[in-house]
Amino acid sequence: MDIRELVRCILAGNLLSARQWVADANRASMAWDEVGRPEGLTKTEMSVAAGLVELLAARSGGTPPSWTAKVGALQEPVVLDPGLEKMPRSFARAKKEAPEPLRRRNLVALPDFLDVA
Amino acid sequence: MPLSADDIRTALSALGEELARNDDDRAELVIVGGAALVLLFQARESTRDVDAYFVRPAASRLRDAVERVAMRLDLPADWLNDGAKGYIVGLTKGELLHQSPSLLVHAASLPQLLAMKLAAWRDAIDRADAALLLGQLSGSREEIRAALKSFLAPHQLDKASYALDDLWEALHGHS
Repeated sequence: MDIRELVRCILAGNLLSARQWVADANRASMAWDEVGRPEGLTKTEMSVAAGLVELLAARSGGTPPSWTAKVGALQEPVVLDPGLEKMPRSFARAKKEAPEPLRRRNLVALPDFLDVA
Repeated sequence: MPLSADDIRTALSALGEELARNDDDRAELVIVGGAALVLLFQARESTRDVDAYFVRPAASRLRDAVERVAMRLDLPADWLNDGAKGYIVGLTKGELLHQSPSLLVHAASLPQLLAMKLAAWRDAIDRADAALLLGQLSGSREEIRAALKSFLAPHQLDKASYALDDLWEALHGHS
């Protein structure tokens, strides 16, 4: 499975495909520590990739690969969930309580984003 | 590939056929989550999971039939599963979705589906589903909040409450 597919689904707002990607990864018991650093991504895409790999690895009880630690925060926040800004309470929660691997990179999403368990 | 309402109906019919090969009593399921929304409103497609509460028989006794359907229709082996049972508080049945001599399937009630969506509140998909469900219910914001409470565990109340407030104001303003 290619993490770039998940990143592009999310940044395109295609959350149903993103959920499916995560469900398939869970079914396949994906070895998150073996996910290679993706090539050909923009800075934003790379931050999203690193944040997602860390998030999904943590949720599955695994460890992320070492390359994610070297991918830092974006200068401007990026909302990963289209329309979230129109929901003031939820948006405030997302800014404060987004999963740590996302929040640390200035990526905004609700606490249970992509939780398909 | 996501599942359409027709895909899910086909899978439930196939499950009924598989169950009919046994002499067991009629199986009964209550579907929750996105698949229920897809079947009730055909508003969107579903991921390849149908979350259900297995009223009878136990999940372990349905598993073989579910896996045979998966083989026939090229679905994941656990396409129908009870993985969401830990999120179901006070099960209530809503619309009848499928019936055959071997299988009876209901959706959960609309208030229960809405309560579960507000408790999940993960992304734009949950918000759109919740908006659809809220539009089906009558009553004031506080009447609906009270009606949903019996479907929520104590630790879900805070999230479901702010989610309902955001959703209500998006649909109705500050009324």
